Amino acid sequence: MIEFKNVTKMYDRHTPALENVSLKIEDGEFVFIVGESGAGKTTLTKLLLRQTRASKGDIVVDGKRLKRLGLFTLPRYRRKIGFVFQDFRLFDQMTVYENIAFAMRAVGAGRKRIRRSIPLLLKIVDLETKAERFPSELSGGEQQRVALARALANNPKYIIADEPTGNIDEKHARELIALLSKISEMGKTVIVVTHEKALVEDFGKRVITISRGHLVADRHISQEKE
Amino acid sequence: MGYSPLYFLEQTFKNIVRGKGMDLVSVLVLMSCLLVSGSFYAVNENINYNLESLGALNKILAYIDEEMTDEQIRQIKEEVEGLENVKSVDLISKEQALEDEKNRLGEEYADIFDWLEEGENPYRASLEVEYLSTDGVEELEKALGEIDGVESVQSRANTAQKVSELKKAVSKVFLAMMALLFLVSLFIIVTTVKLALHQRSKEISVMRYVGASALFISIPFLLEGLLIGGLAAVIAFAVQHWIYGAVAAQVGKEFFGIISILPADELSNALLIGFLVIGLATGLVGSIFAVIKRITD
Repeated sequence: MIEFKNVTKMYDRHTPALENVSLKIEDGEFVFIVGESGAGKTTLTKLLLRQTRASKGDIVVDGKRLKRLGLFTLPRYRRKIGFVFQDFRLFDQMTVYENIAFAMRAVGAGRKRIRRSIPLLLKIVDLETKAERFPSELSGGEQQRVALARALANNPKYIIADEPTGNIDEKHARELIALLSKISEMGKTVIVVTHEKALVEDFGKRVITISRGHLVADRHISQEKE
Repeated sequence: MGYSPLYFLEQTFKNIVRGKGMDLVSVLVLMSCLLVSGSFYAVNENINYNLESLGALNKILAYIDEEMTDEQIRQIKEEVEGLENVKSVDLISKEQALEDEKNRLGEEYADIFDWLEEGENPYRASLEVEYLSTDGVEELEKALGEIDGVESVQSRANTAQKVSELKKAVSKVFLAMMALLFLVSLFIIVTTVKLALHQRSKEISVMRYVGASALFISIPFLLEGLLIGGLAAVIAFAVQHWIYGAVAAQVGKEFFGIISILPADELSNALLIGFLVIGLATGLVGSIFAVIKRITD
């Protein structure tokens, strides 16, 4: 479970990027975090990844207080999270297979495990036939699915996607969210940060809205529709 | 765990290839620094060696009159041992003095005494007097000169003191130069490794997001620093060995009989170990400085 307890993040003395935010995300949930540009979504993501520390309050993930994580415990924590970048962050000189293997090797996975896992990961993201392609040979949507396969590579408990649809067209964006939804059904907690409200409305999931650093709404769209 | 040494070596070589020659510059600068340090060490060791071979360190030589019998010489030795400020007294017979000189000149000049008749010996017996304190040297010299049977007294206390003062002054200059060069080396290694970090920033960011340990991320960069240091040490040693050999041969020729040069082999072990320790330590410290902020921020 992820819990924010009265979290405030100040980058300077005057303007809080996030102010007194409290929220809970249960295991296996699918959550959209929405808000306009500069609302504090990226700060929330950074706090979750422990790229930055909260100025006030506490963030607890799986019973661990993130402010307590140090040089040796932080990498172990991050292995629980699969992160999907808006810009994909794939390596152009590596094939799809090598891009995913890179993430696995970085946490000490052996060759056998890598060889066994990658075809399964590519099957989940429907790219089984593109293992030997380079990112430049793929469409934006396909590249984002490779990034998603890489995020899944180390079997994380949580998937955080930061504006994953920002660089792909609407059709591919919907496919990607559907794929993330499928992954959530596999037992992963999925958090999608986006500013595309229209996309969010169609998927009937929990939506947390942030505006000017404050949590202004936390609703479940499917429940509202009922 | 699948961490393989080959993987780290491959990444290290990638850093070097992408480094656009910065690694080579680092090796050359560190090598220069080691050469200066090594030269300083070699000069210092040779000064000590010469002072020792001249008997100039805390020693006075009292030459005995040729007329003296062995019994008289023994009595003179006892008298000298009773003087103030005397630590020890060694008797060097004329035979031993000749032998020592032959040894000092070595096999190359072994025929230099061939002109001597059988049993002929131009050297005199002497007493090698080691003193306790330099403060009372002049008094000791005077007392030795006054002993019957002592023909002359030779002390190099003044020379030793002057050489020692010169050594101290030269040491200060060398140490300042070395410190400066090490700082420059360290700065260049830090810059080189930072450049490698910058060029791989995308890979590092992905590694950090997926939970790679700080050590896993750092190892290729630490190896890069160690490789720079190790290479600089080995090249510096080879260059130093060659230069020392050439200089020693020249000095040996020009100052034959005046200055003795330590054989290169006697300095080799200390130089190689010293170079490796300093080189590797500088490389490692430089790369740690470069990496530490990147992996802890």
